[in-house]
Amino acid sequence: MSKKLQGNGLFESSRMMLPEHREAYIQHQQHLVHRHPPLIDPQAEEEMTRVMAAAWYSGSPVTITLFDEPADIQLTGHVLRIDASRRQIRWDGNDGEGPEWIRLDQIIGAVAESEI
Amino acid sequence: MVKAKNRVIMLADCQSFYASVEKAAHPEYEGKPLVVSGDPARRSGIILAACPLAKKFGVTTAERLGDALRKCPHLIVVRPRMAEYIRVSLHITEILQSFTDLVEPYSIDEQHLDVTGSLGLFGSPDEIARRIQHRVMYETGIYVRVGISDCKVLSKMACDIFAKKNKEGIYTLKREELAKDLWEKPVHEMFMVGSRMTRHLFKMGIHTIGDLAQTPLPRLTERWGVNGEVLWRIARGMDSSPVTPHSQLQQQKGVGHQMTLPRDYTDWKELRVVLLELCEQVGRRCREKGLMGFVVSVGCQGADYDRPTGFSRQMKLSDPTNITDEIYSAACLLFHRHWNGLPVRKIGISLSDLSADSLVQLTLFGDRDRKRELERATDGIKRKFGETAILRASSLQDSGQAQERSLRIGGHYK
Repeated sequence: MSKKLQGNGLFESSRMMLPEHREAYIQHQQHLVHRHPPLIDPQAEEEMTRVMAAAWYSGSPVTITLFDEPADIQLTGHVLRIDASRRQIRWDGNDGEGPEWIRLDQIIGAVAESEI
Repeated sequence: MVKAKNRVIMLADCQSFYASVEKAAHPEYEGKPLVVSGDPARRSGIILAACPLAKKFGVTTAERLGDALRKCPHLIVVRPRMAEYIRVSLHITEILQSFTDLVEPYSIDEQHLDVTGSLGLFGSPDEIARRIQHRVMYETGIYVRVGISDCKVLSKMACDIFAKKNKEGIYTLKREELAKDLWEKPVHEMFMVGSRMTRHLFKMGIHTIGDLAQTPLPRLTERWGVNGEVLWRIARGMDSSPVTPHSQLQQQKGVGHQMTLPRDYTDWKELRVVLLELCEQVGRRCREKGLMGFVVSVGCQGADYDRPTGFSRQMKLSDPTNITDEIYSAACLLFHRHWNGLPVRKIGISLSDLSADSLVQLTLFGDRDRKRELERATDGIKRKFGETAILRASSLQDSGQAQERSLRIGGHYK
């Protein structure tokens, strides 16, 4: 059977859209999809903890990646304290806004600045 | 065909879309006839959209600007802003998506919605249609008409034939009343019937939509094949197409660009300039999306559309690519092989059989790494400073179109 007679064929074949409109629509649709936080491998988690602990110990800057919608957030700053029981860190983003608490489960990546 | 639960499908159509966007953006033009026209400086440009007031003076879409000004000398003529129209269209998509996730654009000013599952949340179909009208008017200043029925083709006709002509701008076409409502109407008002088809149908003695619906199917298929059956089904409201946001819109089969030239090009030296510009655009879009293509197609057409000249051919490359130079050399090869030297007015290139560019087969020949680096740099410059921030020297020739083209969308000003 012809494509025009099945599924969405009739409308697919007669749709009139500018390529620029189509692109913009695809981008619009991609924004609608909710992102899921990645599952972190225990070894990667261990590595992140090690990086942050080392940064806290030496006072050297570190870049962490936080999961967020619509895109991840990257922060560079210092780890002031690690609160293992509450699973959070005290963070100074060097942005003049003072230290803040960041939950560990929000962090999906950590790289020491000296390693970049 | 009959389903346990009837769907509720709508088509929302914006009244004189481009003109309405301009009127909303320029409150000072309220109460004045306005048209959006290709290039106001050139009287030969055509009318892209006319507001209802201008239409009262007899101005019609697609007529020449000069003719329109003769009918209505105090007409306000506005240059199109295509990027803005796309933005507003998506804004309306967003409003519609607040009623249901099943929204599918059909063109820049028409979108289908399936609200079957939203009735419990927002009320009756009529109520939903009124809320849509209200919100779109409030947020964008555009008047939408809504056709309601239980499938896409009927909702389209409910809108085109009825909702556009009544006071509320909303019409529900009921399946039980098809024979009374729709079948009385002349066949030229039907979806997918143009002026040429109307003439053919008239000769067969088919004057109304009802005539068409009651014509034995074989009489139509033996003459027009599948298209005959399509028309017959539309007349009977037989349509099971889903309203789907994941239509073919999303999956890309090829990346292509074409353009109509400002005059006939007859010299290869001129043609190759625009050919390279098109290859550059195709290549760049592929690189941006992280795609490579295996097949290069080239097509061209002469100016006289009644006596078609030109060709459309394609070739498969030895390796998939998104490097401008490689696309260009394939395009040149095709052109040399198939072009008969006649004047060219329209030219197009596309790259298909796409795959992701994250996996690359190493090739022994050609300096691909260098070219890739070069293009990464030029793409970056264009992204940051605009399409024409860096150009091939050849584009500065008289035949080059890159600068003019960067100002336009779909051939009209951005």
